[in-house]
Amino acid sequence: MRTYTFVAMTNLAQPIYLDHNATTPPLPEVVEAVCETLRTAYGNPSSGHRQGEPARRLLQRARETLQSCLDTSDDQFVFTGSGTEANNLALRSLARHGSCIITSTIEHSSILSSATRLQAEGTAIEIIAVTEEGEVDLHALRQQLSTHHHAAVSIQWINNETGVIQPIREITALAREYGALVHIDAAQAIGKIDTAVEALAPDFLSLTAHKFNGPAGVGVLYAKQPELIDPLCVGGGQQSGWHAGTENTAGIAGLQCALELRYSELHEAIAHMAKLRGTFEQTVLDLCPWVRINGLKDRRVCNTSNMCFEGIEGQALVGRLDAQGIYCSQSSACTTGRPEPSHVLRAMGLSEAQAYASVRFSFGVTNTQEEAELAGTVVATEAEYLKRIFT
Amino acid sequence: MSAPVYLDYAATSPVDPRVAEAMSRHLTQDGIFANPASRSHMPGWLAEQAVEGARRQVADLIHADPREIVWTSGATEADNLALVGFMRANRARGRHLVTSIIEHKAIVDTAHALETEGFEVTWLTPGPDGRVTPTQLREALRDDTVLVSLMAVNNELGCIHDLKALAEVAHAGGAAFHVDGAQAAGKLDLDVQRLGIDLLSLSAHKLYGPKGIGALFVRRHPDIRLEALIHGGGHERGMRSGTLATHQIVGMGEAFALAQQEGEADQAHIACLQTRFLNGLADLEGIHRNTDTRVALPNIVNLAFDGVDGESLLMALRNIAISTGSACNSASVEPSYVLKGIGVPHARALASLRFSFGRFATEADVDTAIAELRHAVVALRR
Repeated sequence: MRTYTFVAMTNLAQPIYLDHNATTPPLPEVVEAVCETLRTAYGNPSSGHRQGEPARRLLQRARETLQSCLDTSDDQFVFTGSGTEANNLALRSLARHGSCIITSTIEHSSILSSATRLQAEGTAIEIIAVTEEGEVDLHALRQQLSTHHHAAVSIQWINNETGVIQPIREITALAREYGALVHIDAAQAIGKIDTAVEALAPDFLSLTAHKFNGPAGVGVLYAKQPELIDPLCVGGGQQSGWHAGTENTAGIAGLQCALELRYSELHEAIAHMAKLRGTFEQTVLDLCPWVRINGLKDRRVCNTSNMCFEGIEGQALVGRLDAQGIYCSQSSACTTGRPEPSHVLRAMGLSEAQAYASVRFSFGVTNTQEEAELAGTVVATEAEYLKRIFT
Repeated sequence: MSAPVYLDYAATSPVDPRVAEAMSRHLTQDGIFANPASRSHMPGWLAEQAVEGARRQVADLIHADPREIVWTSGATEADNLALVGFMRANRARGRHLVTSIIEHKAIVDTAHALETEGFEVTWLTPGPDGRVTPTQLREALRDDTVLVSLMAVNNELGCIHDLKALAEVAHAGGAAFHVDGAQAAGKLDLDVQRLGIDLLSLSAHKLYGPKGIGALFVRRHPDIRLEALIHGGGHERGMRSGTLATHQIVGMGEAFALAQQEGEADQAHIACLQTRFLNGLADLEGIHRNTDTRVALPNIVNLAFDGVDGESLLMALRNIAISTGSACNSASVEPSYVLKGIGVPHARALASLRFSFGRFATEADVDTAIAELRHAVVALRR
């Protein structure tokens, strides 16, 4: 075993942000696109006069970019205020047109909370299990689909905590076989894998700009048949009535710019993040062979590493790393208000203690090789230190 | 072709450069970009701090407690949340809502949606001045009335409701009082304590802030309960889930703080522009104001022109950005439902235009508008 360098408990010269699954820093070009829109295209896209024109054009341009990046012939995109809202809109629409919504135990809270709410309103909800490696159980899915005619399926393409890539092709094919509507929550997938939507032919797909270096506050719902949408907000008739309210034009310009940037070098971006994640994991595992990776190791998205530091408190590790300037988290940022063990890891069969001992590191395009190496060493050092204290 | 003179501030306003500057600092990697719900690291705390600072700025303008502010994606969502959220949460107490026929579409359409859900709505018709009177409201209240929703300032007319008196009537009848304050914030004192407002919808982009952000004031004492529309991670005390857009929120906070400092100066400036505008048209015959000026803000001037068609006039005024009604309805050529609602005759409603002034409008803009308008009206009448 290699001996490791001890890193003193002082702040790093430059902090290292490894929480890109929570949110990503908008790239300078994106910031410029947002600010430029704030400065110039201030008209209301619903205004008939010339001042509304740049705002209208910008919405159209964003739709075209979405269409080309997602490789779909449809341009039916509804802009929402967040990925959460896009998910709510999708689930609500599925509830209206499907006899039952089939989803999984490891979905994002926006799906699970919506499902709970819809269940209280009378929609049948079936929540299927996942394997120990974090994959949706296809047998369970087939069983539910054969039980419920005209059901609807909502599955996350990539899990936000483990980075496990779901067998989305098989899932959509199964759903089609049984005539079920499909919604894909692609929040963590866009810009991190090849996301050709046309081939999958989902009925709905949701995404959010701030997960691929765009601004927060803009979500998108793709709808193959927008007439299936059951709007959450009404009044004013914007976006064909599917989503009322004046559009967030600056945010949408930022989304457009971020998408264009990422998809112009998608494979380079993926390779970059994969390399950093590989370096980081190798460094940690070399120094701490007792650490385990949560989730199917070879079918994870390029940027995510969810590690179980058995025997230590993950919260303590996260706290010590924060003090040093390495920023990571334990589970989804949306639920961090409640110090509960990750529902995703628990669903994969980890014990409560193992879930509490787990920490998520997620890389982004702005991270560097040096950061990956340094972070690996610091994480290992801190983990060893805590291991000695806790045992 | 130079940019048209912008006199459509009631549709949306340009972002104040100071607001844009504050926003840009909350986007970049070396600034504050993190997820305010990230409680595990410093960048997350800094983002949370920025969000809470803005929450106080918004609360301060309306004399609320910051904990009473719920962020939304705009006033439309705030209106939807207020009406749907409140009616559903208070279903056991009653199913009756009172509103008016000249509210913003976000209220009108939401109230119609509630009717299909089994709630009952009384639609009050305001007087010619665009206002619902306390007596009218009192007569509309029933034992099962749980909510009254009326706008502070109408977006097409600029007329101001007597909110304090209306709130008193609503409360005396056991109902809560919701106000759509999108057009009023920063232009009118919206002190929720003094006026007795229980729910207040706010928008940033009508007040020199960005589009895509708004807020709903939800009173804590007595506690107003709402059912969420958007479910998820339980943000905003469970009332509105979804990652908060820090830069947008900071922009709204900054815009509201500026309104607090400069609101009076803005209003004085706007009053001057309005006077200049009306004086410039004074000798043209056949012009009527659709607004009762005694009870209206000076920023909106709604005029009817005898002998011309509103759409043709709008087309002739290519160098002035104005609207025939609210921007949200501009795809249709129906006369404004607001003008119809206050009894303006059909033909006159079709010949009406809304001019709205704001912080960045200049005397030169007004003079251009006067000249273009005089020329177009005379030409069209010929």
